[in-house]
Amino acid sequence: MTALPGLLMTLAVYLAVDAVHQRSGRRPVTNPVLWTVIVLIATLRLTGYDYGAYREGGRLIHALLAPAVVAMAWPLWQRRMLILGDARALVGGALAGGAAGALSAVLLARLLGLPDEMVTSIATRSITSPVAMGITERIGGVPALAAVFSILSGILGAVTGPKVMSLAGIRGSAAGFAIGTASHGIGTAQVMQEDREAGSYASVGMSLQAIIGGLIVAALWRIFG
Amino acid sequence: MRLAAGLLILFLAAAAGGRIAAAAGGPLPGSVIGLLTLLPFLAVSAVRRVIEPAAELLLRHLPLFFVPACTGLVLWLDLLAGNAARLAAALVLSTWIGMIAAGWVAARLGAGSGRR
Repeated sequence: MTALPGLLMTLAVYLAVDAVHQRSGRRPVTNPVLWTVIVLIATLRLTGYDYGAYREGGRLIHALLAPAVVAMAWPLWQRRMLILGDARALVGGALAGGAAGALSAVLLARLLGLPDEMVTSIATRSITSPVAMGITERIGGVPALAAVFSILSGILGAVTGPKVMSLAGIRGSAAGFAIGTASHGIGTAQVMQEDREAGSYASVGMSLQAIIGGLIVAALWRIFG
Repeated sequence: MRLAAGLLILFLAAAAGGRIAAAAGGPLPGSVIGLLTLLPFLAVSAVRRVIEPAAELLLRHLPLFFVPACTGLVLWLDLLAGNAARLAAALVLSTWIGMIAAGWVAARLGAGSGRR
């Protein structure tokens, strides 16, 4: 029974926020996870409802996270021909983008004097949140911070990505792939709305980063951590 | 029936991946190991028929599933507020750097050139 308030609260807020997101044309800035979390945290703060008690209900929803990540095998399988046909460019781009993104994030965070928990948790920011949380736990980061850094990077990449790519002279499939690599699901959804072909490449960029991102971050951590 | 069987396989793969990750150490989380374990089995059409509805159901609602973990942010609000500007700078620059590196290398190596 103690699980019920947290469970209902999460579902109710998510459904309401998602309805707004759908109605506003699915813009990245109305990202349902970000706004659900903001509303939930505000609610916990204002009502004084205990976070530990909230977690009892949250656990039930959280239990579906790992099987949902496993389910990402399905879109990956569907795009296997695209990946195999372009393997060198896509794996090369994923390694370069993943390494440059993670390394620059950690170095900038250090340089700017961010606290250690944030430096560790920012390394996975180009990896989709559910996977980023799993990886950050294994290198000593904070899952909630890692997830939110990923979401913010996703929104940022979705909003600015097309402009950044055209300024850099990168177009078409490669641009879609790059946006998916740097801003995972949120960037991919944005590209998909504009160009389905580039969107497929964005989806592949996101999937490859989910798989090899952990290896890249672990390797960098061993060298620079 | 198909949905239930598919969900069972996804949960089992996630659990197996979790066990392997815990035993092996290393940076890959159990869910990613589960994904990689399942992938080759998708070559079997009977497996695909069972996985498709379950996978599409879970993926459609994936964002909801990481809300509870993100709500843990409530414990880190002061730290975030105290570092917001510097954090924003690090996130913006590194997102752009990673994106340009990925796009530049992928374009150089001819990504999508066979199709366009």
